[in-house]
Amino acid sequence: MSDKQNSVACKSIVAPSVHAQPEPESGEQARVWAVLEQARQNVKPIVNKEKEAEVLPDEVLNLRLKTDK
Amino acid sequence: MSPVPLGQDYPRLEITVVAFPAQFSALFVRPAGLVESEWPATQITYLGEYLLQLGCQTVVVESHYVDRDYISDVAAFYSRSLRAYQNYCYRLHFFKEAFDQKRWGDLVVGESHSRPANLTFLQTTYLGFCVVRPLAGSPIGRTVVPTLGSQSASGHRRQFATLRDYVVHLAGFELRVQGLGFQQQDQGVSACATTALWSAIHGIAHREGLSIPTPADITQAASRYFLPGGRALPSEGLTVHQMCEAIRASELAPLVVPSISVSSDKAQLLSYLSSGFAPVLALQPLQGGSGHAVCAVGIKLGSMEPQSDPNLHFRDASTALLGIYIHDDRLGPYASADVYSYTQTVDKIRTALRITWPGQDVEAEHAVLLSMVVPVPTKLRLSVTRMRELGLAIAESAGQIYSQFNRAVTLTTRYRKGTEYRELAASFGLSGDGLYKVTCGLVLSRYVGVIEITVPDGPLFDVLLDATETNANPAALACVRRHLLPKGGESALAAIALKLGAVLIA
Repeated sequence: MSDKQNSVACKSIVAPSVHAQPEPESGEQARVWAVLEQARQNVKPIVNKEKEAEVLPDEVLNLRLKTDK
Repeated sequence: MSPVPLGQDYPRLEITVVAFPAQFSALFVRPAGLVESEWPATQITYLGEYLLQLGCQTVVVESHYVDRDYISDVAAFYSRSLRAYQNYCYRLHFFKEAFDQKRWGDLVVGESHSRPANLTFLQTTYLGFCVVRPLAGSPIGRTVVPTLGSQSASGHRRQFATLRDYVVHLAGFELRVQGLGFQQQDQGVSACATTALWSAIHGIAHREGLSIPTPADITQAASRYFLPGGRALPSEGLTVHQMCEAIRASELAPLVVPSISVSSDKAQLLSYLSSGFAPVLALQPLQGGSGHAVCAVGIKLGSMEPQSDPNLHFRDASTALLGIYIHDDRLGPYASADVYSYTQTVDKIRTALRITWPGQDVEAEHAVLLSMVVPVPTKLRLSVTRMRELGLAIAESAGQIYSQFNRAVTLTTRYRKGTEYRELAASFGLSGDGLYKVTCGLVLSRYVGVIEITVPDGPLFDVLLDATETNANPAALACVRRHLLPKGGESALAAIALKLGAVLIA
């Protein structure tokens, strides 16, 4: 086996998860997946805004909460 | 010379029955020396008003009650004061039926055959309890009272998923009350952040089988490694950092969510509160002063808003959130707080709360929401933000695929226990195979993230997420058909499930 063939073979067994992403098997599957991808793009502005909540500014962490009575 | 007395007498217990007074503060002796504080304390007046709303008619007063939280405060702090603070409290029990001392005596010492009926009478009229500490400025200790019912006077729905049952022993009777513990800060051992956190942990630690820390435990755990205020006791308040430390010490995990916009904050509040997780809210009162902390315990829901973006095809259930109910230690339990947009500066719109008194439209305060700290089980790693990232895309897809619902497809995100979801599945109208697969063939994490896709008449489908993962995208366990999924719509759901790497359950 040449070096090139060897590297292709290695790539195919290094996968991030157990199942590889399948190819669509029908027209409907392809259509639904296209809708899903389009939907992901449509909601991206909301998602990006909401992800700002994952950044914790120091002033949030260090604010002293102390109100009398 | 008188001989030097040795030893201590055992305390005596007296149980006194009194009619609920027109002024609740009449039950308390006005302490001497309160020059700078108002009398009656706001918390006493608030509790009286709240009990009036609940229809309280009778108060049973126990003169000697050893309260776990207060005695821990005594051990940590008050035992070293010059004044000899007693280590016990009074406890008040509230009932919605009128009865007097004689009737009470009959209930307690009645014939043994009448005891079940007497217990039923007491249980059906029981409205909870309030521990009264011997602290002049902060008497309201651990207090558990029920909520005000599922519908407000203005027709809005109230929901409280954070509540738990408390067992109460009174004169040989075992009574129960459902609520979430509240107590006032004492400023010796606890500040507002301590008591808010104590309330938040009270629900989730109980559900997770963990021991519940006392306010003194919380203050000490919070100050163990980080003491920006210089000393732990008397409490100078806690920072969010310190609250996180105290949450970790309770074997829970802190999720900190900064406030970013009204719509996002509403989504976070709705998701955590409807899942039974009580967030501690860091607030900045609009009138100025220090930051304040309260514990959110319930939600007030109105009508859902239609989608305002013409390019989107779904609605967000969180638009129905009008307000929340909070344990605010400056007021009392279940104070109503409307959520609204507040224009702080020309280019800065913040989420604000308008906090009011029970059953009235009397404002107590306006405050800006700064952040939320949610104590959650340690294995719950999938945040609401991550769950919504996938949920928003699924809801938008469903809105396009099932276009017959005319953009009324709705997104809700929440957590459920896997065991609870399995139990609920019996009512989903699944096929025999589908139900068997959910209950016997699917491994679920202890908590599952649930993306619920519904229409006004009911649910279409759920996407179940493994909450032990950090990202929703590769964590879909199953897509579960619900009873309103249109006939012929199952193949599209199967395609979604395949794309997500999830099992289809139909």
